[in-house]
Amino acid sequence: MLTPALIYAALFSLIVLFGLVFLYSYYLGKIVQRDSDVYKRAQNIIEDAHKKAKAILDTSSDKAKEIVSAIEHSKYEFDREYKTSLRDTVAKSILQLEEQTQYLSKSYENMYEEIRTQSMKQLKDTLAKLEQAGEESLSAFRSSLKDQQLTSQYYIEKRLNQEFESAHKEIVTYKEAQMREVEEKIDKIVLKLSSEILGRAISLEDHEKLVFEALNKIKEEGVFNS
Amino acid sequence: MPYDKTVFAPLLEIVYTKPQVEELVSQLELVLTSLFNNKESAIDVLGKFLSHDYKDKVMLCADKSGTNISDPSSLGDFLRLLIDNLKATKVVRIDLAFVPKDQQVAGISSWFLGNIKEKVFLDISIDRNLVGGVSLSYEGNFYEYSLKKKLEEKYKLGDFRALLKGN
Repeated sequence: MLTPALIYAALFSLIVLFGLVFLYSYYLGKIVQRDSDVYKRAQNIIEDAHKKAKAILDTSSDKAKEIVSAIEHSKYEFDREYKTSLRDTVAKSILQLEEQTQYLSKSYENMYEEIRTQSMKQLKDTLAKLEQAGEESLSAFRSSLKDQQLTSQYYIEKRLNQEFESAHKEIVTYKEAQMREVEEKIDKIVLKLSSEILGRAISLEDHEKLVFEALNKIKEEGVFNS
Repeated sequence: MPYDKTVFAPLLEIVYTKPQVEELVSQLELVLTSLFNNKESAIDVLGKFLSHDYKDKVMLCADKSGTNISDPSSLGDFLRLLIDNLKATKVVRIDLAFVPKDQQVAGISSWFLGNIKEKVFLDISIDRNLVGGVSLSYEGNFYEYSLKKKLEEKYKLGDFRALLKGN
């Protein structure tokens, strides 16, 4: 049941609530307003910064272009100078090399000539010495050969005589032995032939007699007495 | 039954040499082998294996010894003794310079029987190098009485050549 207290309380509460809503809306509007100003200021700042950055970039780009242009120019100049310098250096080097080569060539020719002269001289000396030594050796060899030839001739003759005598003796001995052998063979053949001839010359009756004579002699010697 | 050796004399009279006696012994051994295993008579067996001369002489010897020829056993005993006697007879080897005739062989055989009083069989070889005479092997000993030996004793080897040359 609604009591006046309760109604007063409810009305009070409503009034307070409206008051609160009003305050909130007020302050909220304030805040939004403030935020909107901040945003605008920030946007302006950003736009300024953007413009400044763009200006800086443009300036930088122009500077960079200038620098690159300068560098390229420098590089071109450097290349041109380098090439010129290198060409000069090479030309100088070639010139120096030619000079050195000529110098070395001349030195070599001089040295070669000197060595050739010396070598020729040494060779001539050596040949002369060799010729002299050869003559001397040949002379000594001829002399020695002559001596040896005479000695060898003497020994060869002596040895040949000895060999000849020895061979002669051997031949004579061999001949005598062969002759003896032949004579013995002849004697044996003659004996055999004589025996055969003699045997065939004996008649069967005479053979029989000879057999009995032989048997009687054997008996006389007492061979059958045992 | 023992026999006197003289009972074999008729047979030995016609056997002179070693080859002859070897052939005779071989024939007698064949007779002995066939004597008891044959339906033939002993005389037929003798005639079958022995030559005619040998058969007659063997029968004569057997008869002289009193052997019953018709009895194989008695004849066998006799033949065994005959074979033993033939094998036990001495052999004399003689070398001659000529080939002797049968008659001369018989003569030489008779000489031995007459002079040494003993039957021997002759083993004769021919060696013409002997020229003449004989060489003889008797009881392991050798004796040479050849003409060759006489000539060698009398002459030297060269003498024959000189003789041929007429020196």
